[in-house]
Parts: sequence; structure tokens; C-alpha cells
Amino acid sequence: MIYDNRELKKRARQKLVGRYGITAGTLLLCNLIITILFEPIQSMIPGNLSSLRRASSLFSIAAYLVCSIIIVFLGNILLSGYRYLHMNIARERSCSVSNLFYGFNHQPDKVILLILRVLLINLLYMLPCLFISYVVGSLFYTLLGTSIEIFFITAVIIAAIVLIPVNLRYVLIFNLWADYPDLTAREMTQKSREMMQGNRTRYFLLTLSFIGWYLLALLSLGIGLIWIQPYVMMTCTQFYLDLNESPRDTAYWSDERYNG
Amino acid sequence: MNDFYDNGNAQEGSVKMATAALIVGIAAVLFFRIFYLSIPMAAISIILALLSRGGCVVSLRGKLAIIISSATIIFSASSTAYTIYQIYHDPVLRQQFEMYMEYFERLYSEDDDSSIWEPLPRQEEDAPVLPVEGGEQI
Repeated sequence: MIYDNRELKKRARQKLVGRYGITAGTLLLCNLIITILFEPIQSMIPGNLSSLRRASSLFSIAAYLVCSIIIVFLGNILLSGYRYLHMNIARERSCSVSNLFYGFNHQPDKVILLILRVLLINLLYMLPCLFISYVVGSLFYTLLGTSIEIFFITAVIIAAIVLIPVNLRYVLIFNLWADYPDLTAREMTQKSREMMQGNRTRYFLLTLSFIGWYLLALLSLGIGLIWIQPYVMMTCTQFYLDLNESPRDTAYWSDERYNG
Repeated sequence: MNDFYDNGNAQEGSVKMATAALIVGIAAVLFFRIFYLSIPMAAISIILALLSRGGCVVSLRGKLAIIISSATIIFSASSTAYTIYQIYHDPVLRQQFEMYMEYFERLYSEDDDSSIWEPLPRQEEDAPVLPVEGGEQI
């Protein structure tokens, strides 16, 4: 059955009653680990641009980039564990803080492959966007004499217009990873794309409906995110479960691996 | 097919969260003159109260917390805005404010560390004479 966004949010709040301790605690732990990992490598980047010419600075920048990429992957594996925790709560299964590390001992390579796939798809869409932005920026610069900043503004606007719908196709990949361990990364992205077909606007409106909550979080200097983030995550999990439990008629879904 | 929404006992909201929201809301009222404490506390109170409802309506405590916190945010923000307005439009207050700013600039300046220990100039000796209503001096 397809529920409206209000119903999904209501069900998310229902599921989280009495469980904010574990979700908020896990979120804090996740952020703490990412901060602890990321803090030492911040010192690798040189302070001023003039020092970039030195070979040692270039080496430190390269080391910084490599470490950043590793930490992005580690962070995403942790976040996939956090998503798994929400799946457990939503399905009334037993859950604990250790769910956060689920991704490390259950096919972490698949999580990395999923992230890589989404990153590559983003890059594929990003390159034409950058080219168009460059052309528009150059035109404005030549005809109107505007500053080169127009290039960056155009790039951001075009990237937002193009990349948001693209990324909306892949929002369910980590839920699928938690639910269907037998699928390959390619099949998961394909299935996520199929599930989001015709539901992207609905998901987009669902995420937009949290603007008020984020304004409250802003007023609370970010402290309110401790409770809001689990609520948002649980609502997205409910959205996934709603789609996953809905009757499907495509041949793709008839595969026995999806019904096991 | 299993109904993943079969939720059973989770219909009622969280009483603990509503109570926490009320306590934080009352604390926000107590600190309402200090906007950087009261506004975040009131916002947290509203968040807790709204989330405490679970799948049903907000409880009485939650409603009370929302009302108190909303009022606190409004009063605290207006009070702060009024104070800022006063500082920029009242010459006496503005002069005092600039004096304090100068003092703090000296306090935290990196050029001369010894200035940290210099006291704030006493009103009757160092500070300019501030006119007040009625012609008397401060």
C-alpha cells in the first residue's frame, strides 16, 4: 500500500517512541568516530596557497586527498550501519549500538562499490554541467563583463537541477544492501532506480517537508539534530518499506532473491 | 506478505520526552534575558514536545512545553532586538557600549599583553562625561 508522506512521518515517530536513546547515541558515536578520524588529516593541508609550490606541500595535499577518500568510504560504511539500525527498529527486530559497525563485517566491499557507482554516475552528469557552466560563464563575461563568479553560480544551479533528480534514483541503495545481501552492487542500483521510478517527486517532497524541523535545529544551534536526524532517517526507512512491501508487477521483482 | 506497519504497542507517545520538553521549556523561560541560552533551549523543547507525540496527538505537557517555548523565543528575540535598537539609537548607551568594546579589544589584543591587567576606566575620571535627562551628570 502506498501511504502519503504525513502517514509515513507519523509511523516513523511511532517506531521511534522509546528508542531515541539508541538512535541518538549511535548517531553521536558515528559522528565522533568520523571526527576523530578526520581531525588528524586536517593538519596535512598547507595553510597558505604560496606554499603549494613546494614538493612537500604537494605531497601533503596528495596524502590529504587519499586520506579524505578513505574516510569518505569509512564514513559511508558507518552510515550504512546506521541505516541498518533503523531498518531493525522499523521491523521490530533487536537492535544495538553495534549495528553501526554492521557494514564492516557484512560485505564492506559492496558498500564501497555502491558508493563508487553513485560517485561515477554523479561525475558522468557533472562533466556536461561544468562544460555548460563554463560556456554560460564565458558568455556573461564577454557580453556583460560580469565577474568569473557567475561561472560558479551557474555551475551550482545547473548541478542542483541535474544532480538532485539523478541522486534521487539511488537513495534506496543502502536499504537494499541491508535487505538483499545476495544482490550485486549493479543489481542494487538497478533495483533502486526501478523502485524510485514515479516516486522521486514524492520522496523529494518528503525531504522538503523537514525544512521546518531543520529551522528548529538551526535555532537550537544544531543540538536538535540529535533527535531530528533519526526521525528523518526513520521516515526514509518507512518510505523504503512502503515501496518494498507494495505489490509489484514488473518481471524484475519476480526474481526469487527479492522474495526470500 | 507481512505488514511492516504492525506496530502494536507504539501508539501512545513518550511521557518522558514530553516531561523533558516541559523542563527544558521552563529552563528557557528562566534564562529568557540571555538569548543565546533561552532560544536554543526553547527550540530543543519544541523539538522534544513535537516528537514525544509518537503516532497520536501531543500530550498536555507537550502542548504546554510548545506554548511556553514559543512564547520564550518570541519574547527573547524581541527583547534582544529592542536592546540592540536601544544601543544604536540611545547616545548614552551607545557610548557605554563603545567603551566596553574598546576595553575588550584591549583585553584580547595581541600587541600588548600588559593591557589585559589594566582596569576598565572609572566613569568619573577617564570616561567622557555622559549627559542625561535633567542636566545631571552620571
